[in-house]
Amino acid sequence: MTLPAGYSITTLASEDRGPETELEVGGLSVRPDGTVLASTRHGELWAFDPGSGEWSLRTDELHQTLGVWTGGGPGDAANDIWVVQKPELTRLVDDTDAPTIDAFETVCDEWGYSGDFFEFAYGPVRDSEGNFHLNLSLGAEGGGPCTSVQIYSAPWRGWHVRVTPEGEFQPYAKGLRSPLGLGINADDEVFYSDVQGDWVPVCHVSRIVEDAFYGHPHSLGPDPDWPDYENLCEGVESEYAERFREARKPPVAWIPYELAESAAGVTFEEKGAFGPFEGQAFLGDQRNASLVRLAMEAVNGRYQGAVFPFSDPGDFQCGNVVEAFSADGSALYVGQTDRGWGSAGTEAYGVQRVEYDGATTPFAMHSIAVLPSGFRIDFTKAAAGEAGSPDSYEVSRWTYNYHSTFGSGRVNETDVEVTNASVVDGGSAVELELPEVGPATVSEDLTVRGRVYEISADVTADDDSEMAHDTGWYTVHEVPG
Amino acid sequence: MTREAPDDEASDAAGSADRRSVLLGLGTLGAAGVAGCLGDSPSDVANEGSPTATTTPMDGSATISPTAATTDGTSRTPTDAGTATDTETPTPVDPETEPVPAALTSKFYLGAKSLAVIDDRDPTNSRDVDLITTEPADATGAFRFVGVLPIDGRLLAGTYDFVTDPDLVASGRLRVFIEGEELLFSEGRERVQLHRGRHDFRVEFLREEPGETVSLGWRGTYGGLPPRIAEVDPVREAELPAKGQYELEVGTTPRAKRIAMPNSGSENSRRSLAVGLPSYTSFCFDPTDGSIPYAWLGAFLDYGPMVGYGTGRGDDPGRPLGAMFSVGGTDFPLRIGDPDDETGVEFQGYRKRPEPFELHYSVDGKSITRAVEGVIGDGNPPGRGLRSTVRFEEPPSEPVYFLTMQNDRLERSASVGTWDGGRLEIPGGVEEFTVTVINTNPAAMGMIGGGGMGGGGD
Repeated sequence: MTLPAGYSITTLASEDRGPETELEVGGLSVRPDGTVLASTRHGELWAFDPGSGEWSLRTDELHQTLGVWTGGGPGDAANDIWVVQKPELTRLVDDTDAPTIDAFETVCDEWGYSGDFFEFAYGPVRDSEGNFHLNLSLGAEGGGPCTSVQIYSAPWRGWHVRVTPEGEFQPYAKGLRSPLGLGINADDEVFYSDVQGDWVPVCHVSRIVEDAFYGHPHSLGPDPDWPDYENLCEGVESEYAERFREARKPPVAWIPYELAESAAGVTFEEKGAFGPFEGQAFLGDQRNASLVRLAMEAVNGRYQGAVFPFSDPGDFQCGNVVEAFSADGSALYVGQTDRGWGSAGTEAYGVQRVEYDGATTPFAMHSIAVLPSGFRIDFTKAAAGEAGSPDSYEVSRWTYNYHSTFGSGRVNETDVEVTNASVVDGGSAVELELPEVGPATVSEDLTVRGRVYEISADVTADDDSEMAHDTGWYTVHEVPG
Repeated sequence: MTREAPDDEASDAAGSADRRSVLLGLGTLGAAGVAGCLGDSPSDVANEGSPTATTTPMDGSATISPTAATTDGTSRTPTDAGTATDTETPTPVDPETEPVPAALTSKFYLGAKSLAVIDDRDPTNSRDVDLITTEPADATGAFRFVGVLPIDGRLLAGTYDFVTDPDLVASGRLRVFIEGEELLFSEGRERVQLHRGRHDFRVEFLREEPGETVSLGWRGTYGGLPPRIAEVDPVREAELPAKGQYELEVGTTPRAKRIAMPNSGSENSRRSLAVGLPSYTSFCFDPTDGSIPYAWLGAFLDYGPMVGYGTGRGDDPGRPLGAMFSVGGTDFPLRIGDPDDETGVEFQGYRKRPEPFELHYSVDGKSITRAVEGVIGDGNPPGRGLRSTVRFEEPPSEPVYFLTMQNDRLERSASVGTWDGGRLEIPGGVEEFTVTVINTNPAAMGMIGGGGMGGGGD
């Protein structure tokens, strides 16, 4: 177990604990009163009372609910619940004395669903105007012209869609492959994570922008502007890849394979009650049963940033697919399932809670920022004297292939010399100088533009505490002028 | 002479009221029963629908008559085994609310060492229960469960197989009585004929070690599982994948499951809604066109295929746990203005409470509420069907058409309008109307696969 100091994991549901069901969680949402709603792949919705530790079944009538959202938006009743089922977005109505849901109102069912098992629907998150945001996975079962490539199996597969409070369906952005994670921050900015595979070299986290294209050509479907979208099989990508590369919106961060193999829920810490990481996002990793932390910054008007381990693979009992902060923000609930996918850990499903003790300040790289000639590392507290030595750091960089084959190894990987390390802000930060820093060049054909910098720091805190994880990966698209 | 009767209401009356005997060595349950009853082969179903074709009783089946069925004293004894009709007046039941088993009570005799002492002692505790569940689980002693098995049309009269753990019976620690007659069980099984009516039902169990419990199940051979009697049901454990772990059961209130369903006639059946009603009639609703492609008789649904029975990626269609029959479903059954217009349905959801169960959708922009209830016919055998009460939020000024499939087995009626074959025309301006479609022979049903409803071309 390698969580930062001050954090611990409590198991709330597993095969031997919690409700007597296979609690394969796909969605989590926390009510203002602290009640946790967990939706499952079985189509169940459970409520967990953190005070009593009791679980209660709200309904089991749903179709693979990989997302739940509870009230809080404009005009919401306090007990409103929305869920995303495979075929539709649904409002659950509880208006009788019965303990379970009384009515199921279809909000929107405009997207295609052919029965392909991979046609997952993720979300929703809700913005301040009451719009719902959903991710629709591409299909995976046969029919495609390329081997092992996700397919456009039904309308709007591979799209991020928005649904207005009135139920109007608005296709919003495209190019998604297996967009397991979806989150929104207090500024109404929506982010998603995608799982590595064809046209997605490694997992990434990206900000959703209207009309943007996120890289998977098959989501273009019947778009007449992209007539050859589905013929980009292995070996012929080069004729088209540059066009797609130009069109695609870069991610906030590529998440290296050793850090996440199936990036999942994107959850922002906005209450400042979960240690020194306020404003940052936490992402699950389904495959590795672990958590990833994201610290991003805006450079030249574009988000980019660094990802860090928050745990090690297998620290959790099962693959983490979704998270939600407790009502007071001091704990992070994590929902888990591995069926059909496999994951590290010892359990097939469940819920765990990461709890912060409210007092400890762990020593960690809080964030990394790109500078015109290097990077700045902010620590969570003052570092010891070795932080000022270039020898305390190791930096390398690489990029990835952008192609139809599944995933990508590192491309053009190179060690980067740290020429200087300057401690600033009383030891709580250091500025590293490198010979050069910047995105991948066009000459690196068939690669993504983002360049990943791996930065390791062999540094201890001034109070002798050590980092649980000493490496961060920053994706550079922009460099400040 | 003991006779194996067809498993419908006619057969119900065919048996002698007092004759009973035990059928030994039943060989039709298990795998063959699964195939027939759970929908893999129409031919298997046909066989299962006729016990005489699938069983060879060594000394006949037990024929159990209800003690409470003849409240007016009329005879239930048929005069002609082949054609007789049941002349009894069934005890009134409210099939929408009464559970099966009905009026079940549990009495526990702490520390009892023998079932023989039950009659001489007061129970340690007594309570109403829904199922035979031997609580408290950690205490030893004797249990007595008393209730009623209502064969009231929801469950068809005919042949039922009761199954238990043979070791329990052999050791004398489990006794099961129907109408006061003890089932003798051979190798843990006994076949009985249950006539229409309410059958007294008693189970006695001696727990010698903490944690031991009653294993008891039953099934009708007409297809489909009857409701669970005991928490531990050997029939379900033997016949359902994953021992029935993924069965959704219906009690006294409607239940639904959003799930892909088989053979609904539309590729959009992936969006289907399966609905189970307390009448033990279930149906598949296709939200894309407002149709009810089929119904089924018996238990509700195995959703295991949706979750790959816990081991795979899943998302395969659910398994109706009964035999399918037509209720006249056609694509886009409700049409406004133009009877040939197959468009315009938008699903808006459904409501379970307050009952009846309601489907909500719009047709050509007109919002409707369609309340659906199970209907048990008054024929002999009783038909099975659905009654839809359609209410417009704003009545259309144009005529409304409700289309049903042409089929000789279907009996149609409506509160308003004119039938033209299977098509009901309702004049404009009507705010609410009711359509009832009853399949007069639901026990002769076809099953999933094989090109449609089967069972006579429904």
